[in-house]
Amino acid sequence: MSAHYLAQQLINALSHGSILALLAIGYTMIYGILGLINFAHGEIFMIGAFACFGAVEFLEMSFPAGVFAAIAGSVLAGLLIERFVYRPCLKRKPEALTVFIASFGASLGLRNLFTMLFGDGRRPFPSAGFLEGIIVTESGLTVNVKDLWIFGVTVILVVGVSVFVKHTKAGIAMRAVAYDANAARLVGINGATAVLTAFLLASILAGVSAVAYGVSYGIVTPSMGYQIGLDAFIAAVLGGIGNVPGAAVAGYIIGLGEILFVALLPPGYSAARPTFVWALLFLILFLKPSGLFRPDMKNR
Amino acid sequence: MDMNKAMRSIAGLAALIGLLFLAETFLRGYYLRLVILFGVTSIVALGVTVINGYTNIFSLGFGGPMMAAGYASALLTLPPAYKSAVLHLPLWLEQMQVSFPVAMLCGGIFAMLSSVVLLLPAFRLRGQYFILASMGVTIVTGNLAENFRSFTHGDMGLRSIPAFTNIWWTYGILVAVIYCIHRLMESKYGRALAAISRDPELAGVMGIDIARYTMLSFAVGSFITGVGAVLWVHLVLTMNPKAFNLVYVFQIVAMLAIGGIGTISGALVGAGVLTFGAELLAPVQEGFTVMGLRIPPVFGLVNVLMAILLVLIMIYKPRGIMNGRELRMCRRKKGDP
Amino acid sequence: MLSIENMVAGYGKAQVIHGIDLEVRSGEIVALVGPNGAGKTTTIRCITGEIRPVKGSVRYDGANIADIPPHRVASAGIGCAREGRNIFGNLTVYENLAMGGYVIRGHLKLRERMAWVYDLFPRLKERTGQLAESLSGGEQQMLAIGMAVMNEPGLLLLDEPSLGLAPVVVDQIYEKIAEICREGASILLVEQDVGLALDISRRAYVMESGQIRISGPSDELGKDPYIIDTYLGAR
Repeated sequence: MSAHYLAQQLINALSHGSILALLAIGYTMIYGILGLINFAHGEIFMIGAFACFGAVEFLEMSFPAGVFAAIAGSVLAGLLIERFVYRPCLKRKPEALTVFIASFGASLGLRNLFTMLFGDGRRPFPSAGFLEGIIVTESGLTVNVKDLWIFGVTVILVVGVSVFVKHTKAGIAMRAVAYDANAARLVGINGATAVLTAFLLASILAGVSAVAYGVSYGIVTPSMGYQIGLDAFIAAVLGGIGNVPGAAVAGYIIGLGEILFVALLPPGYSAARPTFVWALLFLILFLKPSGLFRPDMKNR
Repeated sequence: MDMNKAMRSIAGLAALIGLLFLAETFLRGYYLRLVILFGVTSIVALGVTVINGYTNIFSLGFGGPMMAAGYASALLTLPPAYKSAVLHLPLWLEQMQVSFPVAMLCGGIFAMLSSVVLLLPAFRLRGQYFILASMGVTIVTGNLAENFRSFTHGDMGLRSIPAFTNIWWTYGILVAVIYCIHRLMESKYGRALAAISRDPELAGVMGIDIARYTMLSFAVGSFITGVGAVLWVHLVLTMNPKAFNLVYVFQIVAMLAIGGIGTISGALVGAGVLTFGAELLAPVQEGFTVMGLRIPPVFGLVNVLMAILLVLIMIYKPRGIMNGRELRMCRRKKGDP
Repeated sequence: MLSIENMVAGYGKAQVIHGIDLEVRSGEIVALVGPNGAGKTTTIRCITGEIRPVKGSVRYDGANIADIPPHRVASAGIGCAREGRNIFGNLTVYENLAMGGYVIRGHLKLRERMAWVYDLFPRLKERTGQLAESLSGGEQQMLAIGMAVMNEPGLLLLDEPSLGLAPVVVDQIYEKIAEICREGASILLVEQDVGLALDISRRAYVMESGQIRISGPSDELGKDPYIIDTYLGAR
């Protein structure tokens, strides 16, 4: 195993890590502000992928328009879930378990709905010319152009969202609501707006992530959000709940870990990848029970 | 009062036995299986109630121990010839074949031990971290089962498991479990658990050893879910790595949430709604005729409708259909606790 | 400025306030004192809109504010620094003050108000980049008051500003409260330390079991035998 091989794996992990990072930010923001694990986030992601697929395949839009369709699809799904599941549920100030089950129900319902409508088979995801191609560096490393695109867009979005949450008035207000929603109302912050902002941002990132997944793996399925959603949620916890850059970094750590696990061990072990991811989580949680980075939104 | 209560209990039991007898005589095939499945699911739901409903922790990890119990019982009861044909087991295990009660006991103990071993380290985690870790236990167990092919036959699963589970075993155990939980909850142990689930900090200050009681209810609950898993395996007659996966775990938790967590009645009602609800909705999925109009079949509709039902119940009945109450055979007098 | 008439309020079925009248006029400090559980904090919550009164009216500058949500009450010009110090521990002092001025439009105005608060509490300026949860109790109280005055409120509600603080710090805080009043804000001060409250206020209301027991000018109440017996006995 050479440094060259490792470097190649690092490059291979770029898109997988990006997909996880974008999703993990969504989990972390919604958990941070509402204290709820949004199990349906994986389905918001899946709906984004289907929206892009539908727009390009059936409406014959261009690929960039498809990206916007994905974002629109995810945002629509996210806002509808917030409006019709979480908001009525939270209005009654229920126990955490109740919201948790509702979130699970929403996730299951959407996955089953799409399975019912489209079958559980795989569909080819559209692509575009500018994404194709391979770059070979002087040292012999190969880089897919699409991976560069995915990584570049992800970095821009992660930095953008981090800056938004850290430095803008709306972002600070979001963190204030996460810390103490009642105190936030007393200074004039509308909590509902902050929650909507969180869902909006989370869904936009999920939509982009869905396109990245489709481009990277070439398929869409109704159950595509399940496994990757869990992995992204793990990343969110590892990154310190509420910590946006933390979630992104943890997403890349898990993405890279998974790629390395498959690449370094004999092929017989590849199927044990989920065990590896969870083992990694357990290990880190036992060393640092609150995640790798400081939780940024403390929900009381 | 006591005599009266005993009489009522006996009458209730007799009625149940009568009903079961009728069910066994008149129900055939699929419908009999459905009644048995309801009993088995209720046992599992009750076990999970003991784990999650009576303590201040919330575990999604019971799928792991159930998996362990299911495979244990399957391996202990399958004929040696089948085992040597598809698996690579140590000789003693390959040759071993035990009776159903022994397998059930082994399954329960196996679930209890594995639950304690797997989740003990997770107890230092709090809140969402514990939920996440316990979820991991279920996922990892399934993943390991897929990969330890010499014991589990991987994705292919184990088949031709002896059909031991019948209506009498199932409901006998269900009644025993209900009785045990009922007695347990009325005891000092039960009151300590109630105190813990209401206000863990206060309970700790009052000198209740929270870790010990949590552990105890964990062990008892896991044993019950293990027995439930064994019954399930010998009813369905196959065992595979997806048998008690996260979806199954969620279904059980959903049952508790639907019925109302922390009560015996809640677990039973929830198990009933999910087991029979899916059946009631099945005709919708297969297409039907309304006033000469043929509604075409929509596969998967049941799952969607059940999910919608789940969300609606969580919104409008957040404490479950039973609203945290117990159904009682004899009404308590006013002023009784 | 603020006038409460015949207000009845409570939590669910438990009625806590059984019809009170209370008035705060422009530029004065009014104290609301009484024992624990008398309904003082509930009264504050009715003004901020966290609780909707069952009966009666809460008028601010002539408009009934009993039914509008808390985040709108804040922009109407009522600031509130509450018992338990509702500051945001995960934000820096600067960010907390910015949130205190959330309803302010315009960056210049925000700067100006922040400078004013830093002037009032120089300690906060020293701590500007620090997380609020790392501040001392006195500093947290200063921050809470600083946040409440960011929006240049016409009416400032202060709930137990002395709670849990050392006497020296309490004196400092009370000086600042007087200063805020001189700058033009009316103040409704809820306080358990009756002596302290009567010293600083112009008028006072004594609340017991959800009703106003006595009210009047503070210096007169300070001489009232009932007040001396019940609340000031130790002095």
